[in-house]
Amino acid sequence: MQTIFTINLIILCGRDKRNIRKLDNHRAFLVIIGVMKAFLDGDARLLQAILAGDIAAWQKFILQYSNFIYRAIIKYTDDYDEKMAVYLHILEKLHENRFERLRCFAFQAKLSTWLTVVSRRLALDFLRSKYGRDFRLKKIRVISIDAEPDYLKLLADTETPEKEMAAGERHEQRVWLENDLQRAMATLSNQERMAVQLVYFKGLRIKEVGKLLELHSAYKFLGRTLQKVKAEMEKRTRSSRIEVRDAFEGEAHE
Amino acid sequence: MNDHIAGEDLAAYVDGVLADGKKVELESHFSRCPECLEALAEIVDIQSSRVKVPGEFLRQALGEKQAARKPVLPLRLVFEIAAAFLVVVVIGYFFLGGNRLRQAVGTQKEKADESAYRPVRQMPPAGEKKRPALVGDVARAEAAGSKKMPVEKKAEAAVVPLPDLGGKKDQAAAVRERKSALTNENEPREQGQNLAASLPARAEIDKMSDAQIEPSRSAPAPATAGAAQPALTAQAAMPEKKEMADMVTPARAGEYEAHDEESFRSRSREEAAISGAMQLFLAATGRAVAPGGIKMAALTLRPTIRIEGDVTWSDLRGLELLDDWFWFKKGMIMELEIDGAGVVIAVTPVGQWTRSMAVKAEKAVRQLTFSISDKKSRRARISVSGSSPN
Repeated sequence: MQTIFTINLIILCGRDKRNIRKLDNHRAFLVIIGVMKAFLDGDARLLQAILAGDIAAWQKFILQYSNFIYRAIIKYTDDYDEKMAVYLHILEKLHENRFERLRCFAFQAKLSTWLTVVSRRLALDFLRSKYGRDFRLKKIRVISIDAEPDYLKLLADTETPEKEMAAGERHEQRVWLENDLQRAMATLSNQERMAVQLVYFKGLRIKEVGKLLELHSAYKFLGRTLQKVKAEMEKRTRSSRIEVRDAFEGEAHE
Repeated sequence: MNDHIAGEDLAAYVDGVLADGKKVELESHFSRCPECLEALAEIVDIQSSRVKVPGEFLRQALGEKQAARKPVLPLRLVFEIAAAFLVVVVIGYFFLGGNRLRQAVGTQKEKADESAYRPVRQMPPAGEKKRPALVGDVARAEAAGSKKMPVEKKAEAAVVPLPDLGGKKDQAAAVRERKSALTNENEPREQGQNLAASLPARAEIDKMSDAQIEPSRSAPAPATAGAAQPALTAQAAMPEKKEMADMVTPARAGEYEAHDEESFRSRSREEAAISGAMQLFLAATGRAVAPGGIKMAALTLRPTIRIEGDVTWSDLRGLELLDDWFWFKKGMIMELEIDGAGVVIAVTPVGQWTRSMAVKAEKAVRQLTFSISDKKSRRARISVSGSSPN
């Protein structure tokens, strides 16, 4: 009985026996538990009812999962009307073609996570169609014309020859460091690289990254990775500096 | 890999339910594809958020149709409807089911009495040795002031088995007469007289054959007029077993008694239920409960009566009389003429009246009295709030 149930779950899950063999026991267990949980939670029943055309089930879905859709939207826009427009657009897209998108859901992940991914993509599509591909850069900042300009700040920001030289040096240094960092990162494993990028470039918390990458101790892992990067950069930076110094001297000599 | 990661795989990666091979594949893609990595970071960030969608969004999404389809009933209205339903059910059960039950019980009793009077209820159960009640017991019980003993049982206790004297019909008639006599009269002397009068005369008994008398050998019938019911011994009062087999139907007798008791109990339960239901109804509807208890009339709202003219509410004596004015409806107006003593002299119905209602109203109004005044004649108008004179 249990075997039949498991096979049914796997079939429902969209996997055949061959694929399930590839899974290790833990993963298979997780998948089965996930599907069972979905059944117990009523996600599957809810989706089944929605696909059967039950309006009440669709309304229940909206009530139950609107939070996830909304959280995906507010990541990209602050405007209330725009948020409302994007929200209704996402619901419309989910509803269109007899819930074609919902029909594609294979119960591999949680419905909430899947919905977050789909909502994010739909929100980005909507905003890109409205503002263009780089809509985040093109967002207009409204500055009050009545506000008086800060003259002292303007004077302080005025470029002087010394400042211009210093800024140029800093820019060059930054370019070197970025190149060195890229090279140092290239020496890391995929997991180490992802951890560094997610924490230091994408702003995720170390805890979240540890959970995502299933690290036993995310802090230690990240510390070791940073030591590697530092050591690699120091090597590269030293050589770069010599090259740069030589180049400058050469220029100076010239 | 130029293609980006599919949404399903991305979600599965975030949930950590991917196979190891697939996971490594995705991680290598993430390290090369900044867009997918950014998507991953954003999804993780979104998932950590606890922001809730505003209600206006949900209202917009669900539309006004749902709101129209499912109107939200106020809690009080729900309580009112439930209480009214409960009251109707309970009252219906009480007035229909209860009466029917009582009628059924009463009919069975009458049938039992008419078919043949059988001293069944005196008899103890087979295993129990109990002396049957005699006339003396009734007298003692009455002397002791036992009020709880039902009249019917008194009659039963006083009855002794009778000989089969003149056929079943005569015997039954004699029993009924004797029973009614015992029920109505309390004095043992009179009982004896009545019994003696109702029984056949000694001469008649003498004429009867021995065979007719034989079954009642154990209970010789008294014949002397004016004498009290003879004191029978327990052995004499007890019919023989063979006779008992013919006469006694203990199951049916017990059934009747059980019906009596059950009817009494169920009735008390019904009354309690009605009282509770009315209290609930009145409390739910916010209507005041009469201090003297709940009456059926309390369910019908008395109209708000207005008294205008030379007298007002403060002049009215006997306000409780108006509590029964449920017939007084909107559109009915009465013009009164009141003398100095406060007595209503004349009543003139104005507005929408039927003849019978006008007569009833006049009677009711003439029962009202008002305060004494120096004026010999005062005029007033009684109406329901909202009524306007024609």
